[in-house]
Amino acid sequence: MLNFVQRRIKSEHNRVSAMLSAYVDGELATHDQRRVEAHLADCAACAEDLRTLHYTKTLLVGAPTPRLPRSFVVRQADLEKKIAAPRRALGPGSRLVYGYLKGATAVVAVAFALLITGDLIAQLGIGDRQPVMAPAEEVVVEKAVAIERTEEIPQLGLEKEPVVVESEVTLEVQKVALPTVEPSPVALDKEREVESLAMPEAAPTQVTAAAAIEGIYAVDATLTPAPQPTTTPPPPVVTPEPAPTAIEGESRGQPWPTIRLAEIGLGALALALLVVTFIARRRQF
Amino acid sequence: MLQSTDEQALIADAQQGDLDAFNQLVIRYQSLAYHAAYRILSDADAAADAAQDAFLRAYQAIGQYRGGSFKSWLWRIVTNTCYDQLRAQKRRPTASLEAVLVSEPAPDPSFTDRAESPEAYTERQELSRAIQAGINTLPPNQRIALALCDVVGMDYQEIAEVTQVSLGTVKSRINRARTKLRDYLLTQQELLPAQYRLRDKV
Repeated sequence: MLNFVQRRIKSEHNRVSAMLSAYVDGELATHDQRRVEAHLADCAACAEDLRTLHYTKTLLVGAPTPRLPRSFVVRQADLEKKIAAPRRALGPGSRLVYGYLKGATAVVAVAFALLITGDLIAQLGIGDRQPVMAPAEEVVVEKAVAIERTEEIPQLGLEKEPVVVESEVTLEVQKVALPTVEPSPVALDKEREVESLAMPEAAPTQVTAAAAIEGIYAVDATLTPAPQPTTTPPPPVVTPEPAPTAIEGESRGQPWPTIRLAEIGLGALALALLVVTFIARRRQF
Repeated sequence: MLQSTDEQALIADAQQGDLDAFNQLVIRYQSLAYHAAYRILSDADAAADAAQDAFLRAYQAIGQYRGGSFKSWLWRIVTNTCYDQLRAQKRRPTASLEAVLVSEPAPDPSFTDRAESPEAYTERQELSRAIQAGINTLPPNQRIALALCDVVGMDYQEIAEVTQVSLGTVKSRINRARTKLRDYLLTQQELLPAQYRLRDKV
């Protein structure tokens, strides 16, 4: 019980001590003023505190005023000097950090520019570049098919003309990976030149002559010897199907390629560094 | 605090670009601005630079003054300029120490009473130096609050507007500042002239 009372008294003492300067300055509300005065009547320490604080204020208020060294009126020359004044120099530590910021911004910006440029070059197929083809296994299959056809034709006694063996040859066409970029104009020209390897129409799978010549599809052909060609079917209708581009591939719900994510990340980082560098210079640390 | 009519007219003219009108306002406030800056920065040259810079900034920003207490608006600029000087002093501690050791408060003729003896004048100068040494022990926030209260004569509400803190914070800063200054003067009694020493009072 005694501890509780002592704690309460001490708490009131601390509260009043914190209000003494405001009491000296006449800044207390009426009820706080009365509270302080009631406490002062019973607390000699607070009364002495009040006296010394009041005297300290008196000393400071009455201290001699330093003489005005000159007039501070604003002159036009001072205004012009202030406007033309160079930026305040940064301290040595600030200069170092600011230098690192500028360097990092430059490096990231250059990397971003190089990445964008390289990606654009790859997409446009600048130069005599072939489109990105299917993996190596499919290239091998494509060549094997070409060789097989070449051998078959002399055995059948066929001339090297655009002859389609329709009824005697049963082909099972399997689609493998499509090219990821559009074929270059050079590749398309080559398609038109090669005619002796024209494939028969395969309606259900939409096999086109262009695709057959390029060997996009792996052909698992089961050939039976044809006695004699009886008819010359009309040339197949060439309806080149545009190969899906990389962008189209993305729009079909495929995840973004790594390079795209890298471009976005580097671009955002370059922009953030640029903003931070600009703010740092404006604030002059 | 209501501004006088002529002060309002001067402000209006200054906002139209009248430099002479603005300088009339400078003449009214420059002495107090310099005194407060001196107590805050504890250096005559730094205080002069701060006062000049503050009035230059005030003239450039007079177009942004939208009414209310011109005194609070002006003192906000003065205290911000003093803050900048304090930060600059902190970055160059050697320079500021030299300034404290070398500089002495210049006597103010306006306070030199013709009837005051040279001994009394010397004692008041010693008092000023002792008080300034005690103020130098305060952190910037408390220093500025105490200067605005006891040197400029602002009330707590005005100080809260100028320093943009709450009333409770102002009360706390002033109480701590004055208590620290009192404790410093009590421990450094030899710095005070005999008639000004605290313990001798009953």
